[in-house]
Amino acid sequence: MAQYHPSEDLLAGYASGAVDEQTEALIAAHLTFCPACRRMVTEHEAIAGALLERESAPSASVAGVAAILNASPSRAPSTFNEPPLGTLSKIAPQPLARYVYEKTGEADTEGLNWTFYGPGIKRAILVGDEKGALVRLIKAEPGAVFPDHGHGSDELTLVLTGAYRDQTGRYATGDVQCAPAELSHQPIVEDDGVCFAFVVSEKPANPKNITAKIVQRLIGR
Amino acid sequence: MQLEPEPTVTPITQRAANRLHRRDQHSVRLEAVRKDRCEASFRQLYDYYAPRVASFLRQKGVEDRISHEIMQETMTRVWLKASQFDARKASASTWVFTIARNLFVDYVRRRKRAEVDFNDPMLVRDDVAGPDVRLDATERDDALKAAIGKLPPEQSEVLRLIYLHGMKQQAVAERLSIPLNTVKSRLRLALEKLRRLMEHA
Ligand SMILES: [Zn+2]
Repeated sequence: MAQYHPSEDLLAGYASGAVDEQTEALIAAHLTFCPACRRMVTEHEAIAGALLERESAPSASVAGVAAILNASPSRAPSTFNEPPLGTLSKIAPQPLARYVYEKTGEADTEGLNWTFYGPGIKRAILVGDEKGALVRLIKAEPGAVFPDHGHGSDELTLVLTGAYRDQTGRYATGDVQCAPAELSHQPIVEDDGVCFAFVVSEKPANPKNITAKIVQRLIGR
Repeated sequence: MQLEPEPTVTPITQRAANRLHRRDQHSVRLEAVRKDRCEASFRQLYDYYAPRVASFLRQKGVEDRISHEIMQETMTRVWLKASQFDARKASASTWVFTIARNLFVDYVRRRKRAEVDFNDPMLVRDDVAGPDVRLDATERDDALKAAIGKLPPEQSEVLRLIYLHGMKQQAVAERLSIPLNTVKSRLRLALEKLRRLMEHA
């Protein structure tokens, strides 16, 4: 059961249809793992439904209702295609696998464009570029240590498989880490499995002091 | 200062009897559409919800012609998919809201809204509140509506901007020309009241 959840603000935004698509995909994936947050969203929807009733409204058109009642029952099929089920759906809940598929055309994790991010760590950028990855999947081998990095802005990480730790806690499958812009951390992946994570940020995570550290090591300080 | 009288405890059988009468009329009509394809009930639902859904969409900045189209599609789904309505899970208003919201999101994104798939093998099931122990949603939502009606107007205005307009807290603060912390405290006070009520409905 997930220990770390999206903020109430985000869940309300999800319920009202106001969060951006990547955050929506992340929250829907967390909800797949988290019955407690599903209940929260249901409550937010109930509040929105009750508010809808309180809207003042002019009278409805007679033609509108007639058009519905007189229409033939056959309906045009949905214009949205379901993605093929690939290995992506072994590591990600459906709404997230579908999101990744829509962004990349890939249904398999192996088919994604993985690039080096650190020893034992790869990332596949879904939205953005090398300078500013807004949305990406991370794949980290057991025991991998992330470069120490700060965040240009708030960042949400959903753990899909495996687990990692930093100074704020231990994050495992289903957990959402809300890293505020001011957090500087160095996550360490646990030894017993590959850690896949889905990360959404508004601005790039700027690998802080990487050059400084290398220099320090070289000069033995 | 006068103290509120203690709420009187109603015997359980009495409560069960009241439950039927207290059900909101829209959910009752939607039940009639679901079970009997009752056209008269649907007309009443249309009269009630169509203008409200259109107004909800206009507030989100959707232009008139398109908000009319999404509204009409929302009501079409209410008519055609009434079989999916489950009064234990949601009242009529909540159900209609979610349909309109989903169509709105689909429209602005040109992609289907990301939602939990209940057939997902990864789904962690809810073992706390099965349908048997859960409160009837229409009953809960009746209490909720009454409670929202009793909130101070400045609190319900914040709720409205957040839940219907879909505004972020910062945007609400700018719209109302009040500090962000005031938005947060109004929201928190309102939600605390509503939560207490939903738990005790
Ligand atoms: Zn949660």
